Amino acid sequence: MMIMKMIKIPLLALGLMLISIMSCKEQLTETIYSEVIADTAYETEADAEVLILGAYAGLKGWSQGFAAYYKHNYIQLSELPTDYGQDTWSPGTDPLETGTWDGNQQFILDVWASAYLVVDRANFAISTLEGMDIDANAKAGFIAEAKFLRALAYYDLTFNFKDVVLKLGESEDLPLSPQAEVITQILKDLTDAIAVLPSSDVYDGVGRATKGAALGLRAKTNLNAKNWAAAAVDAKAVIDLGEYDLMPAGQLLSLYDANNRSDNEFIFAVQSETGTAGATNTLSWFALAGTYQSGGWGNLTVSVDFYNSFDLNDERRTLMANGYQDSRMRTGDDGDMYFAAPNTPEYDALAIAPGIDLVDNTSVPFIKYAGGHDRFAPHLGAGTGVNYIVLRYADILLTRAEGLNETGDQAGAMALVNEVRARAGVADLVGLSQTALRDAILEERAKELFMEGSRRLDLIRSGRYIELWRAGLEAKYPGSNFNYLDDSKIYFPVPQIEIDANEQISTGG
Amino acid sequence: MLGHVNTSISKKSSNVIFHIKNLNKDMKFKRLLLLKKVLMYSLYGIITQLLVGGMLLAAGNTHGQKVKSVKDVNVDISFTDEKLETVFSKIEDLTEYKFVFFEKDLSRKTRLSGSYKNTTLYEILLDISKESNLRFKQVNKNINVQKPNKKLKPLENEALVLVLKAIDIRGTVTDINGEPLPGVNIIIKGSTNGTVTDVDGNYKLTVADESSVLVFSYIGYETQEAAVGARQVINISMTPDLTSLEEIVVIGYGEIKKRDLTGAVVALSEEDMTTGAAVTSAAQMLQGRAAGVEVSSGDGKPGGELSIVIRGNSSISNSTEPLYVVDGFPIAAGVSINPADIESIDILKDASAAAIYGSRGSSGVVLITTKRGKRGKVSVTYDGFAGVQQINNTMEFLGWDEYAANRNAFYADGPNNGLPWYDAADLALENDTDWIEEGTRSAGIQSHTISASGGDETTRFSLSANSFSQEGVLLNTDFNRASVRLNVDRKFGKKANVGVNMYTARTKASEVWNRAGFRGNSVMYSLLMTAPGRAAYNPDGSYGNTVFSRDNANRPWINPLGRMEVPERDITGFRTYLTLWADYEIMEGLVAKVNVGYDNTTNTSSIFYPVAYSASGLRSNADIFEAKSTSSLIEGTLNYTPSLSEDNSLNILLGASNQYFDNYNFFARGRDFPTDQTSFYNLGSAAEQFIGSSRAASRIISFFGRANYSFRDKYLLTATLRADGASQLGRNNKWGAFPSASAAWRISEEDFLSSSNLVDNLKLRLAYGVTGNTNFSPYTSLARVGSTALYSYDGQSSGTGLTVDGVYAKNPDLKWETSRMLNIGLDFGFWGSRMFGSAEVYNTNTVDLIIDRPLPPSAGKVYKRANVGEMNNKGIELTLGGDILDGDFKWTASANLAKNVNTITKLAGAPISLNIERRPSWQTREHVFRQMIEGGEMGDFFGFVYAGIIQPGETYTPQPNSVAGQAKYEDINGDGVIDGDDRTVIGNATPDFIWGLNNRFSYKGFSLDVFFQGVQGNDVLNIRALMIDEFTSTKANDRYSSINPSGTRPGLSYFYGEYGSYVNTEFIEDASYVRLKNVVLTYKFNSSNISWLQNAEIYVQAQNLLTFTQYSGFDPEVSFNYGGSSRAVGRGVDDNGFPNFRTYTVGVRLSF
Repeated sequence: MMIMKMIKIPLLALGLMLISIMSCKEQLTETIYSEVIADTAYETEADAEVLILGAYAGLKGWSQGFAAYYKHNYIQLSELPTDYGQDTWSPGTDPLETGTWDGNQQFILDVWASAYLVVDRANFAISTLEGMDIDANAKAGFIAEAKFLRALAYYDLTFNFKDVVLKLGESEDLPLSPQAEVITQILKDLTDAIAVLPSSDVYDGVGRATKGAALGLRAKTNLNAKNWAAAAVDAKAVIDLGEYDLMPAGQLLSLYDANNRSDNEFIFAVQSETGTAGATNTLSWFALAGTYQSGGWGNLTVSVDFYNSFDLNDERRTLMANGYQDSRMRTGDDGDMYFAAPNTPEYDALAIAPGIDLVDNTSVPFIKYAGGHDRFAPHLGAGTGVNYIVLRYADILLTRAEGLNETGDQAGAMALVNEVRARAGVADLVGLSQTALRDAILEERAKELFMEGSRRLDLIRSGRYIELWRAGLEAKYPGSNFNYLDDSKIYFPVPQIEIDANEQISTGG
Repeated sequence: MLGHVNTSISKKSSNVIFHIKNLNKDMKFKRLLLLKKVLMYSLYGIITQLLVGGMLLAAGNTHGQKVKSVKDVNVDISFTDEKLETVFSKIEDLTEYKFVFFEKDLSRKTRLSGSYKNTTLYEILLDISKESNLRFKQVNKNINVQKPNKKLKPLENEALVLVLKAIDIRGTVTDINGEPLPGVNIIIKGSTNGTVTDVDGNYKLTVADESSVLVFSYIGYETQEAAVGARQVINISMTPDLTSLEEIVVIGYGEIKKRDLTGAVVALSEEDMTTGAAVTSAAQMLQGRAAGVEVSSGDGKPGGELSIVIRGNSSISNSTEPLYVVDGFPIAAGVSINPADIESIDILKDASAAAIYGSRGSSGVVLITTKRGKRGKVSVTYDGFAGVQQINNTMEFLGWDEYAANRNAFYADGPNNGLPWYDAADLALENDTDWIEEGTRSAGIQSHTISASGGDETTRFSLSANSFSQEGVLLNTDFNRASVRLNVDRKFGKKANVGVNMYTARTKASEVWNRAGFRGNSVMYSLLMTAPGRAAYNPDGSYGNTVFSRDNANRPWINPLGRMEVPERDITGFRTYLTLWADYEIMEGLVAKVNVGYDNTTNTSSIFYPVAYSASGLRSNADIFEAKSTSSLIEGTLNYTPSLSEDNSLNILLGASNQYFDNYNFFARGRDFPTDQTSFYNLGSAAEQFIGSSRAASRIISFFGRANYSFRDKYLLTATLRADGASQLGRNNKWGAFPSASAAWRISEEDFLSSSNLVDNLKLRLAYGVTGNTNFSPYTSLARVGSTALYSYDGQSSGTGLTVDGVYAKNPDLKWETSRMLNIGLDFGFWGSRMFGSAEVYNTNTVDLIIDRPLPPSAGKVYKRANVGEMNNKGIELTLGGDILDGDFKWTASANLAKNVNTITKLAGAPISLNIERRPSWQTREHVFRQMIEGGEMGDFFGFVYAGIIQPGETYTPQPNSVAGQAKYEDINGDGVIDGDDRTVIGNATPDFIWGLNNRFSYKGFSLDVFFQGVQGNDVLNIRALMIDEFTSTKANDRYSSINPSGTRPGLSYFYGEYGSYVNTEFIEDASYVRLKNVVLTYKFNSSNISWLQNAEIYVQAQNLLTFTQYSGFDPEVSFNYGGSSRAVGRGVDDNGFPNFRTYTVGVRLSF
């Protein structure tokens, strides 16, 4: 009997095993331990907020060697290839300043890749949020933020590259979409977002998407799409929110103070923590040098001509030429250290002590990213925590002004421009024709928003990009020939790595 | 028919390539085999008995009439006072009889006289007997002379032995497992008289007398002889014949007779492999022994793992190590096993054979069978050896004077603006340390295995215990292993068997910090690079702490001997595997089997660096890393062998299995301890502490089936199908099917060859099969999220959270890599299988190679791990063996040779580059050493072409900034500038062919094995040369400098130049080698007179005795894991490996 029982064991076990294998599908679903899988990572409202903050982090995160664009990269891309932008970093950003880039230019690739990192995270957030069982209002709010982020990334992409890959889901290898289609999508996302997003007081600051931010970005989108009337209407809607104003005259430097990051002139500004290297705004490294910014390179500057174009009473002029620049420092008669670029009044005014060898300089640093400190403040170390400004009220005023001018309301336009000029301490514009006002607004935008990532798109929109850029270069580098700059340089090339890896582009779809 | 039988049974073991297995691997299959044998041989036996046996009996009778009895022979003879010998001699002259006697039995005093006329010889001998007190016994034509037996009564007329007295002998013939063997031929030696065993293995036979010898022979078994002596019952256990075509080969979930094989399978028995001293792993036993199986050690670290590549690399991203199956249990990773426990290894090389392992078969399958008990009495064996290992250092180093003079010159010429490196005080130092000498040693090795095995009718067991310890040739390195194996099985009734296999081992090793690819802190480089002017030890015996004038006080020099001996590294591992199985014969020919297995490994690596020796030199550091992995298996098979007609035989296997893998890691680190005394035993006291852990699990579920069909033993067909579902595959591709089909034609069984004297075996095989590779990590296909710094929207609150992985895109379509292999093979045996072998040709196309496909940046991710590449491997393999000399002096030889050609046929876009991890200097720009491109080979080296040095006054336009003495490189693309685009394919790490050659000579108790092994046509990137040729090796004397303007090797900027790279042709060396891998001289004592001793052998052995190579490094055998999960991808870079060594040992084997 014993034996008979034992010999049945194999049969029994075999049968049991076959039955157990029947549930193959479940067994072959991977059991997750130390990894976290997207499908199951987000459940609660708190998780949803993490999801959306992760998408924001894409604005300055790193993705496999692509330096993120709202740490410094997009500013350089938007300001160096312009009439006043000037760099001193030959191998790195010279091609941007002089328009000698090709499809392999690292900064261009970085912005392209980083913007798509934001698009991908926003898409992921939207699709994940849609499947989450959380409070409906909260969910709608998070989705609206994701759509704002997606719109912002596509804004940067399509106005810089024209036709771009329009990716709204998880797919890869998509063809290029015409710019008009991309703009339509941006406007759609922003319109969706505007309907849901809260006012700016909800977040105790300007670091997250609000109704004002979405409206402002729609205004800028319409402006660059030359939907003049719509741009004016959207800008007015921002103004009418009543949430924003201009920093008073005489306090302009404090707009750039790291301790004044939620001033209500800001509509949307990417926030940074002071001192945390990973999340900081690293523009100061490029813009400031030597003893001012420990380890800074000081290779992002404006041209001397641009500096000299400011009215001597213009408060905005004080945002330049004040920084320490170690190779250009000298001790003044008062014993303090001074900086002055050649061919500036300050330079001429300084008495030069014998024996001090002034290095010849043709560019002027600025201190918008110095954290609100002027020339004598101690340097700030690794992270300034200063705002990376995406949208501020002055920009919206000038946007509406431009919209009004293009639609024939020069008086209304001049009133708005003069609001900005008054704060800077310069005289009002009066009686300008549409054409003259168009030029005046373009110049005003430069003076108000220089090195804030707006210039290149302003020039493109004006239709005078190549002409003014070339003139600026010829002034900066007399004797050099910039005839190679033509309309092919208006838009950045789609990076070669995208073309190589994306069969839809490389084979023409 | 008789002739044919004799031919078969006379094949003696010419060993080497193929062998026979015990029939007891698997009770179930053995029983099936037995059934089949009964079917085949009972008929054969009956026929033999009727025809042959009958004929022999008749012949015997006829023969009996020819030899006359002494009673029937009359002679005339007379002798007077003559000695016994003389009388015998006279009788011999008169008759056809011969006397057989011992001289001592014949009394010298005896003198005989007599005269006979026509008297029978019987009567004459009777008289002599009475006179001499001797007895006579006629056996055929011999008359044996014996002294009388005192116990017997002296009956007068019976003093003479009866003529042709017969003894009835009976007995049973069994196989080694005690199963009766029917149809065994039994012949009385020296006659043609004999019989055949019946169905129960019983026989009866009548022999002439005690001096008769019986010869037992049976197809597939070794012929045995048994002297009758005083016995009347003679039971014989037949041992399988090693070279017979009846050889049994393990093929996964079963066994098959070798002659029925249709795929490419190499079966190696113990004596076909390298055994004995310094064989620490199964892989080492195989090196050079099987065609197409490339084993490389690359690193002489004690207990170090070897790499096996079967028929070329078939994957870029996945591991290409073969699947190991130990006693039917697929082992998760790495085989820890005492080589002395291994009975045999079978290697499934082609896809038709490996397809039974489906998605895990594309790199081949290594089936390891451990030793089992045999039915019969218990035997106890001791197997032990002890020896010494020595480094094989062929490199020459400069003495301090030359070293310092050269270095001073180089620095004065270049970066140091005319100032020397060493000042007068430095130069005055009298040290002249040979650091390699100081850092290495003659290292001991020893192993002791005691095993006991045996069994009775129902139970068999085998138990072995091993203790192995090996010192490394580098100071403070060793490896120790203690292991126990137990295999037991028991029969229940006639239909069921239950068994258990258990192995447990503990390993313990000490290491020094020496990792391939990490130069700065690795001790090998420290030893190679340290100036001979520094002292190894101070006069008081402490580690030398010489200070040179230019030493940085903040980063003092650390004596490499101290770095080897002071830090503690303890690597302890436990491994246990356990298999329980049971089978049951449901009906005749149908056997069900269940197998349950469990494999558990725990490895703990503890490291402590005291303050003075930590990498930073500032803080003490302790790490504990613990890895646990388990694997559990349940599988069931049904094996059916129906009774068909005589012409047809069929075997069908069906099975299912479910295997689960679970890996858990734990890590803890402490930095900056208050004291060095607590080593890694008090991590909590560290100022900084880090911990981490991870766990990953996967499962594979399989269904499989195989059918073997043979028609008239001539036409053989095998078909296999396996379906695997693996959890780590993408959601849309969980299941894969892996079919194969193969056929073989035994041409030698055809009528036109069956009577050939030349050809006795000729088989043509054709096989096609599909296998897979799923050797990638769990969760690869999923959309993973990772921790990231979150956006601090208010500029104050920071934190981390989960964000979707921006590196890898999910891939629900991710599936196995698929290899499709066509194999054509020819097996042959000539001249009675004095010469035998096989030839194979194969062509493998691997598709769906898993590659990290670069995604367009617009995807928002960097890579997608996807099935996008394709690769081809094709090759030929030859195996040849033979009995060159037979007789007292035997010489058998075997050789194998294989060639594989690899081509990458498709990649995803960009070439795949592998980098040298650490550059000798940050100034060197390029550090890619391998670039895989479509149309290229996996082993290609990629770099610059060295073109000598810039001569004084020479201007080399492509390198405008170069000065005299600097290296120059060829402007490959002709653009007038040396840059990264001037790199090209500069070598290949894959051998043109690999080979092995074994010779065994034996004479009486002596045998000598001489085993050569080699690799031809492979290149190595010798990064070590780049390091040591700068200053330390004698080649530094050839460098161009102000004191050596005739130098032919680059001087300045050789290593850190603006132009080119250290990856250039100057460092690509041909690493072909011929190696006398193993020499063993064994003496086997004659133990037949000692009843308690079964076997006694003593041997001396030398490994790596001679190496013929042009390679300049320690050892041409290098195989490092550079830049890839698969070691094979990064092969051929000699960078800081543990030096290889020679081993001399003495060993004994005793069985009781």
